[in-house]
Amino acid sequence: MNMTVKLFGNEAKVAGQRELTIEVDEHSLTASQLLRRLAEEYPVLEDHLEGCRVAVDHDFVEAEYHIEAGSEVALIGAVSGG
Amino acid sequence: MSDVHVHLVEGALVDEMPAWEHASGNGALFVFEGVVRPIEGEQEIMALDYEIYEPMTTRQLALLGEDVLAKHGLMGLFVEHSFGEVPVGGCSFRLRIASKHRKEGVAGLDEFIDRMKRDVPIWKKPVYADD
Repeated sequence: MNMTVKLFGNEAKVAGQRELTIEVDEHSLTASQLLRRLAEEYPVLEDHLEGCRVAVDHDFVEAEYHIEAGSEVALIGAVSGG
Repeated sequence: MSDVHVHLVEGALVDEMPAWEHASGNGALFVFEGVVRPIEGEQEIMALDYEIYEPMTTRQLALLGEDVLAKHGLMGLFVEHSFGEVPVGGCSFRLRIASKHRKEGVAGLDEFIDRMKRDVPIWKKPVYADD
């Protein structure tokens, strides 16, 4: 199963894409596992992930949150509104 | 009806503010406007280009507004933010807060802006003359 992760801001610029895809064997994986998988499969992002948060279905989630298949997932780095 | 309103607007915010039931009738009314400066990171810019992530941006602004309203006992909160390009001198953010007294309004305004700048999915990108 493929999981799509939306990118914005600096992370989208570094990756050169607005969406990344990772293949997931498990029914769900945690937010922290997702960040590890992104670092492994997209090394260009590795140095930028420490300050990033994971959002699932438009809410921030904690590290041990289980992301279910079909959820909308986004990587939210440093923001700059206002 | 919620006492928190969120409007996302393409381009610069216009001078005429949207109608709001709390614009009068309370002891204190605060209007903060964020204006695009001509210098960003020591470089001259033409504009800022704001990226948002809907519906998360609206949702997080609304949640933040509700939290700040409740925490400080405010009467109402109205936030407008631009997306897309806003030229130097243009207003890209406006926050109105209505409160019974000055103290809680000042505190609420300060907290909302601090937390928005830290947590709400909005990203700005400078636009230079040679872009």
